[in-house]
Amino acid sequence: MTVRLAAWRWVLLPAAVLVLLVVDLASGPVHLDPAHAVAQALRAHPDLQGLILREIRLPRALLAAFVGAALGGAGAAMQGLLRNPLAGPGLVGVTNCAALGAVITFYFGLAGLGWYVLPAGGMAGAALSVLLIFFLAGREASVLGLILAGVAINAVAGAFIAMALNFAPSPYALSEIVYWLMGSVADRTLADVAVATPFIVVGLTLLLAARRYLDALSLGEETAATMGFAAARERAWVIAGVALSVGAAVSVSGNIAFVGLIVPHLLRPWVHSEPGRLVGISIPGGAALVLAADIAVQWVPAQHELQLGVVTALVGGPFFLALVWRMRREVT
Amino acid sequence: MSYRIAIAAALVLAAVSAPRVAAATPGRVVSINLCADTLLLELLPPSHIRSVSFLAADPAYSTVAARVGDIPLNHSRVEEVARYHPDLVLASNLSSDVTVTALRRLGYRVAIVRAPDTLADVYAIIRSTAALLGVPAKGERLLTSIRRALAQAASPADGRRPLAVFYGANGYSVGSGTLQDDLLHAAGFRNLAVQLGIHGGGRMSIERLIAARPDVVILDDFESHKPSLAERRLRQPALREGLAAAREVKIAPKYWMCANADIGAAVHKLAALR
Repeated sequence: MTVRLAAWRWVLLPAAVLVLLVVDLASGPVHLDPAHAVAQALRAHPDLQGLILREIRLPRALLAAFVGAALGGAGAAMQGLLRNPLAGPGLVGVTNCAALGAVITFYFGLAGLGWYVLPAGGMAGAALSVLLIFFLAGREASVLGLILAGVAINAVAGAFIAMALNFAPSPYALSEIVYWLMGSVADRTLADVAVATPFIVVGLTLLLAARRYLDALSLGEETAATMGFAAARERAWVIAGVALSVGAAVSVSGNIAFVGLIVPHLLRPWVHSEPGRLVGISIPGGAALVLAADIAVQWVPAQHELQLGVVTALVGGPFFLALVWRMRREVT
Repeated sequence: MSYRIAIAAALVLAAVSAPRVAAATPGRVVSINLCADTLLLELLPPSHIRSVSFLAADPAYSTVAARVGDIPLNHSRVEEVARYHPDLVLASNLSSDVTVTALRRLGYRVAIVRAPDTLADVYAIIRSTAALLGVPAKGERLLTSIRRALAQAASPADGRRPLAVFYGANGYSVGSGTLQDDLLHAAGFRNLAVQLGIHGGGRMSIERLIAARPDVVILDDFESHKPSLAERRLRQPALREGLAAAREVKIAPKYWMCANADIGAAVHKLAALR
């Protein structure tokens, strides 16, 4: 039974992602006739239904899936690298730093220089924060040291985001702070998908390539070294992978909180706590979670659509509390 | 709503029935709010105005920026106001409570020029402010010109009422219970936001907007050269293609933010789209 389940889980989650993708495409305020809308969406000049499906719902659903995959995979990889179950990209400040990089390039007109500038800003911010965490908390990070480093980095990044938006020449700056700190994938365009996904795919590929090192690392650093892994190089791959995937994701969607923390946690029992496999399964896991949250925000009836990041935070906050409760003996 | 009109009416009555001496024109007026600025600049000559807010001189927000001339500008801070020893300070119901309270505690006479929510508000605010400034006749002339513009606009030859919608940055639209809705009706339109059940201001998704096939879409023409997500959203290809059949116009929101002569101009601009 367990063997059969072990094989099925690699099919189950990707299948769930596909189903959720279709449900997300079907969710929205306007009723679409599926066959008609799909046929129209494939045309050069679609009618209203085709246009809604192709230009509004498709970019939204694709971004939810890719951003979720990036956050889930990066979360699992960071937990493996730092050997710490609390090392999600949100808690330790990677997403906020990525948002800061994106905010700086976006509001000061740099993003107009080329399509790559906005994700580059996000990735630079993410890379900087991963390096900072690494040096502040150390590789053998204690839970307390890691969380304190994360609190500090988050506070600094949050302050700089608020300051950058204060100086930004935008009349909407204040309301947009909320977007960067509480992400969303609503009203994106296919151009946003095209900008973010290549970096997310490359980043996740790097993380998957490092999965054997992460497995070896769970046995201790010396063991990994005796198994022939060049620690410095492998670590650099993981850091680059996290920076690429989280940086690109945040630069188009803002900070969708807690995904990188929750997903690896829920899936860890499925892969018997093997860090390498956890990265692999957290990729479809993250995609499924963010898609489900995006479907939920569209089904909740409200005059102002709920922000996606608010929903994941509402789920993730109590989850984090429960986690801390369980770990309290280790922390104190 | 109605009690606010009643209060406004009571203020007007009080001002009208007060002895002539009390209605004397103040000579050192300081205004710390854009709506108060614009109305003040329309009603009193610059010699009576000590300072207006910095927004009044910014043509992006103010339709009377040219009239500011060399009147000093302020940023709505108590110390700046005190510098001019005003005999009357004009603030708004949207001004910071802390600022207004502090000014009153320092002994300044502070009058509130409200931001209007309806067309009836516009009339009441202009009338009471003109009385307060000792120029009621000038206020009446202003009201007459607005009424004339409304009368001209409200005569659709064929009785057809096209469907219009305000669509601003962030997908923000304006529904029932707002001045903009009153103006749309005065100009002979139906308001899509009201049909979709939006009361006050609220977000309208691009999907709903293009599915309703409005005849006229009024976009904010607001600082469009400054980068922001809000503006970026208006460049959605679906918005462009989905509204290909609609008339798109850009009108700056400054025309319907305040109770002043712009209201007449706004209705005129809207009626021209029908």
